[in-house]
Amino acid sequence: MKILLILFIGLFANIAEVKHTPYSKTGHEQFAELEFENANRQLLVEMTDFFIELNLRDVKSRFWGESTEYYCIYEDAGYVGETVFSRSNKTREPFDFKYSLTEVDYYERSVYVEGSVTVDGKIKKDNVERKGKVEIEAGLEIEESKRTTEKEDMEVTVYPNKKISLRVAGEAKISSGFTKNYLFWVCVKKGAWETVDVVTSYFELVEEDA
Amino acid sequence: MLKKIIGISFTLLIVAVLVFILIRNPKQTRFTVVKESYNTVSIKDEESSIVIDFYINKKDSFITDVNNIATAYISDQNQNNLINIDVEEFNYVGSIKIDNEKFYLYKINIGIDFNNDIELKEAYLQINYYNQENLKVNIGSFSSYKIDSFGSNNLSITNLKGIVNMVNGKKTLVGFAIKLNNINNKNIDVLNIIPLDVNLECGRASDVKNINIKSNKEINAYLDYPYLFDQKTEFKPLTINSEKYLLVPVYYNNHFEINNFGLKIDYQIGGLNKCFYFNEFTFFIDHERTIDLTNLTFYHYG
Repeated sequence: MKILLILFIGLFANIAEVKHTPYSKTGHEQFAELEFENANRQLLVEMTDFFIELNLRDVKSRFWGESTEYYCIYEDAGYVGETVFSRSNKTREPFDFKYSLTEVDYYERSVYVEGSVTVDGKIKKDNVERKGKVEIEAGLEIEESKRTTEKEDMEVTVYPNKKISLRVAGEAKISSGFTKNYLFWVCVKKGAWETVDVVTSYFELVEEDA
Repeated sequence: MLKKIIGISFTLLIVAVLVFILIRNPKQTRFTVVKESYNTVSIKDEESSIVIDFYINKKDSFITDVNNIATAYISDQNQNNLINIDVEEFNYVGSIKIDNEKFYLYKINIGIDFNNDIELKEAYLQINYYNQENLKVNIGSFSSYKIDSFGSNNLSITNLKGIVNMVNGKKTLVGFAIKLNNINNKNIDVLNIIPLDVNLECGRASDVKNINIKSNKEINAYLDYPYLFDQKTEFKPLTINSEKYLLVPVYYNNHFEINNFGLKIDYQIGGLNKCFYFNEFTFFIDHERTIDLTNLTFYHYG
């Protein structure tokens, strides 16, 4: 009977722990720099394996489903993004360059996972409408395929021997925690996760010599 | 047993009555828009465009089918100024709950083939349908500028970024830092910097040299006089020999959340007056914008 139970759990769960190597120094591809306003807080990428393991031990076990201990919920942070675009002109004539912020690699939410848990839906603000206000961006359930249909092109002129770059920085909210998934009291998945929700993006246009 | 039968019968009766009411009174079509400041700047003879977010409580309704549209305009309230527009499409994006009711967001792509400057402090979108019905919605303000060309042979902008402060609960572009580069050997006198939006004006610029301006810092930390978003200061002409890094405060005649506009820089070189147009620039994006329900006007159709 026990063997059957283990086989059953094995069928539905990936017991092997997946280790995700962060692509950038912040753990989030789109952020070159990411910093909590509260200097005592750490990003997931800065946490040691020992610290993560210690916190995972504190996660309460349960009969079935997910159990989470939060490290922080929607805390203020600042970020510097990767350069949105950069175009240089080494010809003798100026040229116009059209761009749309919806077409460039630009995301409002970034997720980084250390371990095997699934994170997508965590800490989404559920109170879309509060005290007579409607949150017109966050409250919107956008059909994924419609994200790039906006018609908000911008155009810049790149002069000869010049390079134009668009940089982005801003404010974000970070949530992170430690999660275990249980099936019949058996932990089948565990890991630490971190989500970064961009709150405001500030753009800076810079012209330099090419 | 009798109680159970009575209970079930009563429930069925209520359900039947509700179904009857719903069938007899189909949901009324309601729609709304968030009043915004719409602005556009483009080369003469080129079509410009704007996108209006349109929230409606029915998906795929008669209103949002462009095949039903006969004519469409943007106008002021009394229709003294009226420009013909082309409603290209109602593009469905997603749904949202407003005042506990489900609304569907459509982005209305509008093409504008109008070859003059126009500024409407209060603008209306008017759509006339083939069935003689029409809708007229206050969309906020509208500014459209037609120019001969962008850029200049004398001046260039080598750095541009905004400063955003919270004013009356709105993320507000209170100023921008701009680095102007004199491409010529002659001195250039900058006479004025004009934001291309009917609601905005620039004030007295401060030479901030090489200070690292932070976009989310209080603007008063950089200016040598107090800033109030609705109390304008005069722009004072200044001379540029080679390069100047300026902080330009932005003032509001009407307080919309405006994150994107073009610039017109009036300058003088060798006794000649010239101007330099810079294309629309998105200074910031607010990803957690909230709108007071009291600011929304709901329109009814049908």
